[in-house]
Amino acid sequence: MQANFIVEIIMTNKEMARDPVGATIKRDLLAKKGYDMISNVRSGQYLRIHISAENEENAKEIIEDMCNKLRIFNPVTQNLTILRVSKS
Amino acid sequence: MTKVIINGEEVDIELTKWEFNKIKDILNREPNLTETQMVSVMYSEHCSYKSSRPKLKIFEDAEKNYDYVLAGPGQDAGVIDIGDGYVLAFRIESHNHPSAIEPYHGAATGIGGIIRDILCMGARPIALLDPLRFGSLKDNPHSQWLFKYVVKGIADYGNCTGIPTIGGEVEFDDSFETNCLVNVACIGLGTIEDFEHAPSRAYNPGDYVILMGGSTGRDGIHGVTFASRTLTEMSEEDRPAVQIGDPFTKKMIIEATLDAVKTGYVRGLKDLGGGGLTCATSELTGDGNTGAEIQLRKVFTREPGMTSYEIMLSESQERMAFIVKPDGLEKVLDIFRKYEMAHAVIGRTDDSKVLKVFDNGNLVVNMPSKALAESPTFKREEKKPSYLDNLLSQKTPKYSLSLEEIIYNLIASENICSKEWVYRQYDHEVGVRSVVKCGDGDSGVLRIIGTDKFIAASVGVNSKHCFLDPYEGAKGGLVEVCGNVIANGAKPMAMVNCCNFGNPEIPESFWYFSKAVDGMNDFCRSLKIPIVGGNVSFYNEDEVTKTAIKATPMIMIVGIIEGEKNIITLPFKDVGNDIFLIGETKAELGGSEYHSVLHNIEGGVPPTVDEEKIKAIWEFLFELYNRNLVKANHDVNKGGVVITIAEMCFRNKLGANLDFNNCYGEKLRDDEFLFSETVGRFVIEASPKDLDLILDLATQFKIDLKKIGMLISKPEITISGIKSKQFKLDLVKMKRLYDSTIPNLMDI
Repeated sequence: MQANFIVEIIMTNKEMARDPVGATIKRDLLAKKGYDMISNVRSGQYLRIHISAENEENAKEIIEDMCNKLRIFNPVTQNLTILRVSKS
Repeated sequence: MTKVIINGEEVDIELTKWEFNKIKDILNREPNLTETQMVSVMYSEHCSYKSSRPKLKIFEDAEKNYDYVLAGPGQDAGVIDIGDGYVLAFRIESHNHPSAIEPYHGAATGIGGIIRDILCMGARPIALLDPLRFGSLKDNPHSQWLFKYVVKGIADYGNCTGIPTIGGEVEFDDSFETNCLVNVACIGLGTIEDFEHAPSRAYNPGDYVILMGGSTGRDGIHGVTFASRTLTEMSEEDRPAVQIGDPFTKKMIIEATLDAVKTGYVRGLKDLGGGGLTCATSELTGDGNTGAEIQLRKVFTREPGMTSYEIMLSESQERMAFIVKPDGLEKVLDIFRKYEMAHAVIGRTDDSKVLKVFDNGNLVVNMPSKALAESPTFKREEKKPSYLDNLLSQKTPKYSLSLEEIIYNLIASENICSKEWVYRQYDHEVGVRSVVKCGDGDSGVLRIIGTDKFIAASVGVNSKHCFLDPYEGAKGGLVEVCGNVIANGAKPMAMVNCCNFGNPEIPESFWYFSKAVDGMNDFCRSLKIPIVGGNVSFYNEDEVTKTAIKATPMIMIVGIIEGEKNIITLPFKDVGNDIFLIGETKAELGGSEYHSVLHNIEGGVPPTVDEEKIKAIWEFLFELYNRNLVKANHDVNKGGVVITIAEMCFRNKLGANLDFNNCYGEKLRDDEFLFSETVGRFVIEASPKDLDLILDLATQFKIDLKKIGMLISKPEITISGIKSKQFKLDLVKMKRLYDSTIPNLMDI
């Protein structure tokens, strides 16, 4: 039995790697307006994928496999996190 | 890897036991962990040139022998005086290992690094050139992936910083499949004043040490020791050694640095690349014969809790170190504030000749500054590989295809076809200096705004020729790359090189390096071209198959053209004009594209170089230029003379009637003449009214010159005067094959 799911994934630069986008947002937007309480900003990319699969686990597996094989993200410098899987 | 005991703990270090004991002798005590790791970085092959330095000594006298050379080998970049108060700074280096692991960021940060090297000579980076090597693209997704993302990494970084990529070179060969080569070159333009302001040394005690630019993180710790090893299965684990570049910050660093240099208060300048803060502080003080006290916790870090060892060894991108006169400190800091560049005063120089690093008041490093900057060297064994004699004696097989089919095959081959797919991704016009653009000449030509002088630059070498004979191959590379700038009307001014070889601990690999260095040295001395800098990348060797890359002593030549009217371009111009072949063709098919594409063999006799003949041809060409006799010029390169002529026909959709009668004697076969890659030859276009004058001059200069045909309006090449029957080539078909190869292979 196939069902429809939505898989949301997020890709961020690894903790150790620099993140020019986040650093720029912090410096240019926040620091300038006096938001001194902000100490760090990290950016990422968000994808929302509609998929038909047997179950949640299966949907997750297909997406993980696809992202690795097709290099949707860069495993050398980025982490991929599956944010959530929900029924569509 | 060696195991040693430091502070009662067993640690793995990259140094040999002998090197570790040498540090103990220098310090007269046990080094601590931070000191040991700093030494291990500075003694790595990448920073210390410990295998190559004894050999490279022969390059060291350029500054002494040539008046116009202001900085020679051993500096961050070579610098030459080009008159009118201007200097050119240029350098080429490798970023092979990081790019093989992560092509996009590896290539991008390679560009970032070479830009900083030019910047620290006080010059504005104005052009980039990128020679590359990959495995064959056909049916090879890995090579396609590397090729695609290396080019994209170069394009994204170069384009964002506003520096045009004006040239490059690509070769595909299976020896580069796991070890691709990404060599990056940069040219900077500055004034003599700015260059003199900014030596990469700290000569004066009492100056401030300032760190400016990006923050220091845990990325890329031990990047240089990683570059001084072969790529193994372990490399997957080593991947944090790869950096992420930030071209927009780099652009600000360029402007802030040049502004700071202009104040005259900057007395020393060094980029933080391989070896990070360790390399920058020890080279500044070691070479300047001073010492320094560095306060480690002043360094702005990206992550909390970094240890002293991590801060000293981090190779985070986009950082510069400045040595600033005390009375100019506020002025310089104001400039950094204006550009919103993060900065910190991290220490002061002194006359102790000792580098002291404090971590919250604790002395963590206390070493003579020279101990780090001057590493021991090793004399490596060299031995000619046993397989070479067999390869060199390979004969050219009989050909079964017709000559025209062979030419259609050649023009579509990976190494000959159009590289437009690559250079279309590069911004080669930003900065409004580009005059001769990619595809219009053998080299990139830039205007020096405000003068009537032009810079021509080219890079290259033929790896297949060097594989068969590194001595003649390196010379041949010089002939070709000098030929490229000469074809555009420029006089070659100076050379820098980037030596890409296998593991120097293997005698056969070191033999290639040694012979190539001899070849470059001998040629440059006899043709009076100063060698003003170099970089060495060893360990380009596959651990699993135990094979090294084909020897690649990459060469970059920078030349000068006086006056816009003296710029020559590649495309044929007018119907009815004569075509000449300059230089004798020999049966030199070893390592040729004809051998590899049509016969699938790598051997044979590769081209050799006769310096006297080359010199005569160059002098002859400049005589023709002085008399305005040359309409178009292109050096004969891969694939031979017909390929060269086809490339010249494409742009203006012209054709040619060729007659090779009297061009080669009884001894040469048709394929040997047509596809030979003998170096030092040129094809030029001239007006028929100048025929007699050109022939007279050729006799006077004692050079080999033959009129081989005439330009026609129909897009075809007819070839007669050969031993087989005459034939015709369709240039529309040739152009289609020439243009479609890489897009087809890359599925785009």
